[in-house]
Amino acid sequence: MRTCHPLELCNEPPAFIRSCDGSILLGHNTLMEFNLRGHPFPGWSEAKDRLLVSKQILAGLDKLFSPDEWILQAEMQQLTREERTLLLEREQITPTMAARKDGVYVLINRSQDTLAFINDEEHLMIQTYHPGGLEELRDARRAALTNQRRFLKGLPVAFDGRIGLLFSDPYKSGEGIWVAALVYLPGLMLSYQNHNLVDSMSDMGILCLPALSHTKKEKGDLYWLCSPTTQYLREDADYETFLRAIEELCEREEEARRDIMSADSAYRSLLNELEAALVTLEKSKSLSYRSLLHALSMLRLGLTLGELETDVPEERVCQIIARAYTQTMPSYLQLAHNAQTLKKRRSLRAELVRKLISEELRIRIPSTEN
Amino acid sequence: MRAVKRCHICGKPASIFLTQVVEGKTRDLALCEECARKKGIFDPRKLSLAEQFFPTELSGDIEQFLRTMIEESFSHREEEEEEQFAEADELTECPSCHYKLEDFQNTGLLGCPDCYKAFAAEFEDLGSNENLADTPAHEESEPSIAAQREHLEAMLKYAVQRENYEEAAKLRDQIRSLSSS
Repeated sequence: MRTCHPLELCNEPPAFIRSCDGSILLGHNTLMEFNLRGHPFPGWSEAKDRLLVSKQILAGLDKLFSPDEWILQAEMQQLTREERTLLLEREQITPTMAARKDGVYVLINRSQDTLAFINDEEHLMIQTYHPGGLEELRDARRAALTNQRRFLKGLPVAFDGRIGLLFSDPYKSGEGIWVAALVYLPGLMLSYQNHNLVDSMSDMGILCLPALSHTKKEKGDLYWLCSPTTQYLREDADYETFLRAIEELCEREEEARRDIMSADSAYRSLLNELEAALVTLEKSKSLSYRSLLHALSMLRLGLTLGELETDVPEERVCQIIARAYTQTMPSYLQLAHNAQTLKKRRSLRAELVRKLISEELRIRIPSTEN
Repeated sequence: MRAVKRCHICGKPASIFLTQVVEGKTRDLALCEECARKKGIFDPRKLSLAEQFFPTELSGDIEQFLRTMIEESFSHREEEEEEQFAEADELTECPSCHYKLEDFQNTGLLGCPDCYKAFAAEFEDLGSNENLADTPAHEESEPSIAAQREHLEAMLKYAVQRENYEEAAKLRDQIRSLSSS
């Protein structure tokens, strides 16, 4: 079993956070699931079955990926509660996965954009993050279908000529590919249209989940929008609906940003928000993670709209902001700095952010002549 | 003021009302809770005790109504039993993983890939999937020409939908060369 300490993962932010610039559509995750023939599905299997499956899949993955591809390859029960929380906060595992124990494996590749899960809901799940906008999203499903062929050829996958790939939930059966788009929507949030957003997405059968949050409360205006469960003959139509919804959402966010900039009262509110965010990031002595995410979101919006300035190149700005996201997560502070109490974590978080933003980013509000 | 309906057996205020419409004629039976309980009306299984239900104090109409009701109840039960026997002829347990059909009906989840065959009747509405990359390696070592063409045609359809004509032209040529070979 090759493995690193999960804390070593924190040297790099997860791929989806690295792509956090001011764009609306930041990237997308593609998810592929497979089950092996002749083995019970994980939900019904015994420990010995899961062991057999994991051996077979690990051997298969060794053929499909280079041997040193995985920086972390660990069985869930090898990880401590804090380590699992760390992976959960970095959105590298789900809460259900964090609760699982024997025979469930998580594998994360060196660039942290590909994750593999063995014996979770299905025998194998592969999740890959791709940064990019609408063009990339349009090609996502086709690219995933091409990638899927490697797995279909390399593993004895449970497949039925009529139904497609077979899953424990028969209504998932079919193509076995899901796409989730990561969107940044501060404009809609500032204009209090967030409830409309979730409702209108739900009406279209699209799941809308706040990123960096395992509760329903949104944090930092980042959302994952998931394509509906694909099955039978509806994949093309479903994916088209999904693409249309994302396009529409991007237009609505752009419109919201334009409205904020053009309406006097909304513009004044924006300036107040930006100023408050800057003060929070540069002067706070104690800072909750939720407040930090909101302040970072405002900072990114301010830089995108040109209402905040820095001399640091854009790529470096993204890196610094990504570090601010990941090195202030509660579990990271617990593991890396032994900050066991809430008070200690908040003060440590404020200190880390002050250094990053004041010393490395050196943000300023542009002077206005009028 | 609305009149209080009385129990047809004891004359106390009724709380259980049975209504049947036969040939346009409505027939009602009102019972108080106590009489209904005595007659076993809270337990449908006791409806079969016809004798209990046809005491002399009930009028002929009502007696007939109850007879009809009980007969219907019996015939319905017989239908249900027939259905159950018919179901027993099909597989109720997966021979590979011993997962029960009942568990699937309760949870919506299956035990293993073979459950799809064992409980095939449950999945008759699952259509074919034309967009799968191709048949997996274990089904056929090399995808057949028909499968390759099917896949290319699906890709072509997708490319045209996306108005990616350059890609579509390449795919069209690939399909042509596949057909000629």
